Amino acid sequence: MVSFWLLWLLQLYIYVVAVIMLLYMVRHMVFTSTRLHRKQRRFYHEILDSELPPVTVLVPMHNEEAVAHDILRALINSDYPKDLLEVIPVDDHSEDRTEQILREYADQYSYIRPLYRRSGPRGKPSGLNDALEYASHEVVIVFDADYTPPADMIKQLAMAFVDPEVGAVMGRVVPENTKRGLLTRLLDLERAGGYQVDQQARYTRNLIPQYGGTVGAFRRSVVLSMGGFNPRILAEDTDLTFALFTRGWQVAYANRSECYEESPESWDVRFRQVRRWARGHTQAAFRHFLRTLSTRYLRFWQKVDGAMLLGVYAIPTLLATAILAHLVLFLSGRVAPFTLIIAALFCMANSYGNFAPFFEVGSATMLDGGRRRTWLLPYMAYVFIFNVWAVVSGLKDALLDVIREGTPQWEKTERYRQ
Amino acid sequence: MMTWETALLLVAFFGLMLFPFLPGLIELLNPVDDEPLAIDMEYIREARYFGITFRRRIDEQMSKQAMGAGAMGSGRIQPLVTIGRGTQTSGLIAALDHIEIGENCNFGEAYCYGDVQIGADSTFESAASDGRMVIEDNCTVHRWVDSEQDMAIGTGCVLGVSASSAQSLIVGDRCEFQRLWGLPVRTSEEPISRYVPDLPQEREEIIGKDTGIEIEDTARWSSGDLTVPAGSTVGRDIVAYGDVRIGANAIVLGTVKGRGRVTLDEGVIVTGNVIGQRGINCIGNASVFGNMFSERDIELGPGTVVGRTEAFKTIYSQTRVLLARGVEVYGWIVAEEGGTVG
Repeated sequence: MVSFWLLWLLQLYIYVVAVIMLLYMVRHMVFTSTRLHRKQRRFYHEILDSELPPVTVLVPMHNEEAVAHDILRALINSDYPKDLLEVIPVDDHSEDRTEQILREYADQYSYIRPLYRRSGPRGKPSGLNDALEYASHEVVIVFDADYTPPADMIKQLAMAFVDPEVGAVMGRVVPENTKRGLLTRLLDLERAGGYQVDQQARYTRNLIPQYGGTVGAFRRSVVLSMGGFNPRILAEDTDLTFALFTRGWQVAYANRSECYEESPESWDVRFRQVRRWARGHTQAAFRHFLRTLSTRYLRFWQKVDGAMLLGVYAIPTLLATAILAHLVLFLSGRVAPFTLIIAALFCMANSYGNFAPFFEVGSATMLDGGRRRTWLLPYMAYVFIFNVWAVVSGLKDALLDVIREGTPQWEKTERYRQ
Repeated sequence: MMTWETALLLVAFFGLMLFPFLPGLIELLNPVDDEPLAIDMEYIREARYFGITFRRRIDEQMSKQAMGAGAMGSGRIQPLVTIGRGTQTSGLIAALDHIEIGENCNFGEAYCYGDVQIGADSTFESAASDGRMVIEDNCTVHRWVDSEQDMAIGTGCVLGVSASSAQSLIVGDRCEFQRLWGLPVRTSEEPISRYVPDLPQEREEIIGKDTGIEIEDTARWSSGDLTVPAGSTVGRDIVAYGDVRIGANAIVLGTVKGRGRVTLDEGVIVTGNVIGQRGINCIGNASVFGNMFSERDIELGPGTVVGRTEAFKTIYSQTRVLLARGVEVYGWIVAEEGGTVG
């Protein structure tokens, strides 16, 4: 009797997972169709304005001697009026030459004011909180240290705040080191799908474009009024996105504000990165899921999109457990009715990919003018399987965080630039 | 022992399974499309992009000093060039001091270090002047026009993708455009004398005193449509999820944003920006100190002034911009689907 109910529950579970994956696939099809066939919503960087707001640029750094010169030179090369600009590289417990490099630049350029953190917990949220206290201006732009912003990037991002509803803005991330191997080329495809199609479609449809935290900006007073970034949440970007939306603020997406980043070049570094993202994203989901569904500031479809965005890292785990459930059914001789379901699951998984399904990535590549890079799309199936492993590990970490109630250790992504 | 049919089936199965990976393997072994997406790291947005890059191109060909003494392209550069009525030419018309083109001409490009005058009913690709420029009635510009000093455009002209002037740009009735830049852009000959009363400096203190209205929620949002009564003064930004109407002679010390349509009645003053996702309509004599941005049409009635002498701004519509006679804009007007005057 018990085994009957157990098998029945497993069957039900597989059906539920199949429906959830189908919903995600439909969501991404809508995004792709929106990007390809609908008139796109424009961002505020179309505006030329002689009255620019003073801005603070924050660059969190931990052992960044390999990339520090590049981002500082790029910021010096910015066309933003230097009397309205303040650059704060946040040296977060570095043990290499980062401090020395920052001191050299600070000596030469008065608007570069490094913050040297030698006490307190290490990590991006904590570093940003200290820097927000140190910053002078309302508009705060954040670049990761491996990013190389073009000359007019600061102006473009700052322009978002002509809109009093905008609490944060996100630019487009473009991998620079695509030539380094299969992984970097696949990450390039993934980024293209995620930004060129996914983020832009969400912005066009007035849904939930995400503040990504690596090339973006926010209002300092708003973040401070929310108590700053939570050091216990590793995905401070997702946390801020939902904190803003559930308080009536908007996040804008600037598809043409493109900025180079350095992608991970080895699979183990990528594994740790995805695991950290999954952990942080799940922490944010625990924090914001119910509030997203109940807030009066979001419309119905925004709530649906928000809930699905928060749940995106649960999908690989659901799929993995559905496969396990299927194995149990197979061993108990109950496989026949479910063969089609499992086939559908795999089809959807392959469509769904990891963070952007193949049709989304293909469309993005086409919009970007790519040619033969689409030939690599089938290889993303491997990335998906790889990500299932990393995301399940991240989910486990997030659950342990809830049990232990501790502050997780921030793990920095390795740099490769010479 | 495996039969040959089974072996064939296995080969076919694995062959078909691996087939999708073959093109990718070719690309990996012989990379053709592995460059990162190109980003112009030095790109800076510029309203007069066409004129500036055209001059740079000319300067690269020949310095000004060399031009005075020599030639450009195949012809000599004269101080004064006059093109007779009805002339058709495709080459570059260049002069040091003055270019005068007669009526009904058809030419390619014109560039002058001094003034340029283009006769009525002419058609051309582009023209740049370092002095003033006059374009008479019913001309058609296929690409762009740009001048370093004042530019005056007659009635019924089609202005290509961009008409820009480093000083004033006067645009006549029935002109069609995509982008206009001028300090200011005017749709009347005479400057508009704008009356701006002494504006209170402390924005927040005004709330609840003079407005006579209530904006829902402490965070300044209004969940539906919002109307500000005529003559009110609102000391903060206004954001509404629906339409916004600012009554006649009201003053808003901040930005007005509506997710619906924003209407500014006669004589309204807005010291910030105006954002109307579903369109903006200025009935007339409104003063907007900031930018205007909409995903739909923007209509500016007579006497509307946008921007100030000391600060240029942008009017951007993802569809059309309709300018009445007697509008003055300091800065840039962009109409993605075209704009008209009058």
